[in-house]
Amino acid sequence: MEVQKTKKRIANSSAALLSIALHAVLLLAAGGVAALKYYNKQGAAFQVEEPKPKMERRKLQMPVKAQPFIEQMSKPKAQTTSRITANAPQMVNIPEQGEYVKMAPMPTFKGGYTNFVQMDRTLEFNSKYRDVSFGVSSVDFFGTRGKAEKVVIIVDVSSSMLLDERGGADSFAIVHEDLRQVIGGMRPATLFNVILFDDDETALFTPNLVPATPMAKTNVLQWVGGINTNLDLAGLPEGAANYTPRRTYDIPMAEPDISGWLKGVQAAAEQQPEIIFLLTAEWGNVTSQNYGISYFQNRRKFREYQQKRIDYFLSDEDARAEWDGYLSEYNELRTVAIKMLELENQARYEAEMQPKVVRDWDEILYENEIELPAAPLAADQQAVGMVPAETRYTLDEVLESFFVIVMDNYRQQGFPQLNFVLLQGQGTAKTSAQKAAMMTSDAKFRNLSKMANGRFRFLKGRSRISNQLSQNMEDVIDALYESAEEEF
Amino acid sequence: MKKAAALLLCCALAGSAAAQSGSTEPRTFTNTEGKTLTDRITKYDSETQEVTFENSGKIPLAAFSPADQDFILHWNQINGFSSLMKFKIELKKSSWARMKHEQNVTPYYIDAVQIPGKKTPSHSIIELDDYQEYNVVYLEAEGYEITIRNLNFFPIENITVESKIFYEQEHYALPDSLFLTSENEYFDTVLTNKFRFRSETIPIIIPREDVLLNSEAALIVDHQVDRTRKVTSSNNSDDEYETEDGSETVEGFGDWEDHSRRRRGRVLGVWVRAGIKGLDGETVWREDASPSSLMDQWDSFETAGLVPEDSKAE
Repeated sequence: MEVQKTKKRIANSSAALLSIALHAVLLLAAGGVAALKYYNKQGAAFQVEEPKPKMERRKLQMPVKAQPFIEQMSKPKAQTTSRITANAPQMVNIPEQGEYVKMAPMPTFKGGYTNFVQMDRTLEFNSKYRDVSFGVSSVDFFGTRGKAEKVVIIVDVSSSMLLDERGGADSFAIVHEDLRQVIGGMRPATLFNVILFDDDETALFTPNLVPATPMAKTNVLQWVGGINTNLDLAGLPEGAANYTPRRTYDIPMAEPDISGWLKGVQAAAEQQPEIIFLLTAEWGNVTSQNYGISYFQNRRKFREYQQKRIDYFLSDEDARAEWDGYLSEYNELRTVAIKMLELENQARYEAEMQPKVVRDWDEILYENEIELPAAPLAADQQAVGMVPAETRYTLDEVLESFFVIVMDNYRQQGFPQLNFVLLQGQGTAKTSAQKAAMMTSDAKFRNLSKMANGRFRFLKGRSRISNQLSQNMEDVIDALYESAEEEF
Repeated sequence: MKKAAALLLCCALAGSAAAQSGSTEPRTFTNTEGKTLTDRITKYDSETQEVTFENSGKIPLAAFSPADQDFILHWNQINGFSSLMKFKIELKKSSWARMKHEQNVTPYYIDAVQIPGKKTPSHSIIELDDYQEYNVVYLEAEGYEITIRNLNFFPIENITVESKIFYEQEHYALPDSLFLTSENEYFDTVLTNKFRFRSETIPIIIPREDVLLNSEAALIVDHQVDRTRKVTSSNNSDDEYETEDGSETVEGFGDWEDHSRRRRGRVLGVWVRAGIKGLDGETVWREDASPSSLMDQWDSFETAGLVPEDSKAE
């Protein structure tokens, strides 16, 4: 009842009318403000903005490479991940020096600067907690450039690098200087190694990649620094060779025939760097100075062939006489050549020069324009029982061996970046026909670089070292007689 | 048809795995109070941690003795691993690297002679300037990506993954010597069957995780020498003459055109098996192959003559 009373009271009250009137006044006022705003609104027009003073981009004191991080943020992560597995410990970078772990986190394949794919979850995890590209070093090795976190430099220290035509020890001093710059410029978190080779012998600075700490840099430069400074002790020092292959390879080349740069690349590939730099002077383990050809020899077959060849020449009277005549002439010239070398080195010693480095004793004969007799060819090659082509590996066999050695180690990661530098000699005459036949070192390395999508550069050594003496046969024979008389 | 056969084989293998898991034989379980129960496990729920038995229904895992708890978890691992739906192996062929080199060269003959007292051999070179040969070599590294996928709701541990990639490669029967003989078949090749084995261990695959492994690389060579072109004709033709049919013949060498050759290779496929330790200590294996026809001929792979008949027909 009370409720009904109240309702009646409200309906009849004049306060309701007052409220309605007040609301109407408020509504009119609000409408008036809106109308006034609309009336005052200006039509659309272009406005000329006054140029604001441009702020200069602030340079970071520590350069930071943000690109890989951006990529990481913008790209959705693939669901599939590779894994570290128990049988593949080589996938994990285990630093050899303890302080490395404290100093910088583990490097990673992430970053897009190589053709590597993501390797495993651990590396990806680590990459989030480390400075981006912390371990990437920019390397310029005789004009071949690359950026990577894992770098291997392979250097030929054989006598081929020290020949007169290539500038001798002075040219090798350029190598020392470049190594100092390249290794000195590496970031401490870069993992690196240096491999030296001298024909069959290969020496690694360390068994595995190591971070480029100041101590490691000093050690490696000290290790390389003493090599080929004194040409009386040219090549890899005795006992320095320390490389044995980690695995066997199913390749056309026999294991003992893998030598020189190929063995160096094998040692490097087993450590799986992202980038390999190679400096060498020759392609194969056999190089002919007068023809300029260079190839890998099948040593077992070569020995077999030589035996069969000698047997052939000794089996026939005429062939035997021809062979004996050739040998006696060769032996005479050998005595002359060795005396020539002795006299030349004596003259160089007096002129305070380094001794002459040669591949073989006959080279000084060519330089003094003395023609060597050509070896007699077998009249009936069938009777020899072997063909000389069997004694050397064809280019496709070497390429196959190279490909297998690299891909057996890298597999799904694809090819690493390869950079070849060839020490160029002066005055090596090669006919166009031989170049066309792809028998020379430079032609072979050029082609290999193209195939492997790598880079190729020539390193111009110092000027050719001219002989101190211009010798002729008669004078040397006289000198030989004189020494024989003195001895008598 | 092949797929159906492979599926049947996989089912059979899964069946054998299940047999090894002990689900066919009832087992006596002991609880924490020493009471026993003889029954067959049908399911283990890793979320609720309950074991479902064939006759006894659901029992919490915690109710069992520590040894039986280990057994149940191990049974569950094998059960999950053996499931074709929840544990998958996928194979995908991929090309990892390739190199190509081609050139036109002047054919040559090099004799190398080792003179006593000399370090390097002396050479005699004869070039056939009138001729040209085209040399090309393709090198390709192929392999298989092996994706192991765990769709179970629990991790699977210590999985051994073994793979064998099969390929065949031709080699020349004779060395590359121009002056070998005109009597030999210069283009003859010898076919060699090869396989490369790889074994890896995955410590753990968490639920819904994919793990990508790779087989070894099969390295294939395709080499060709084309000697059908004569570039010039020198005036000095003492060493060569034209036969009645118009082909060029070089003395000691035979018909020039007969000295082209080619050797090739190809990947045949991959066989993969994944295994975990069974309840009896023996490894329980899951197998797969690509193409699936390789699976049937597994026994013969260990020996020579591994080329499947249907692959030959291709």
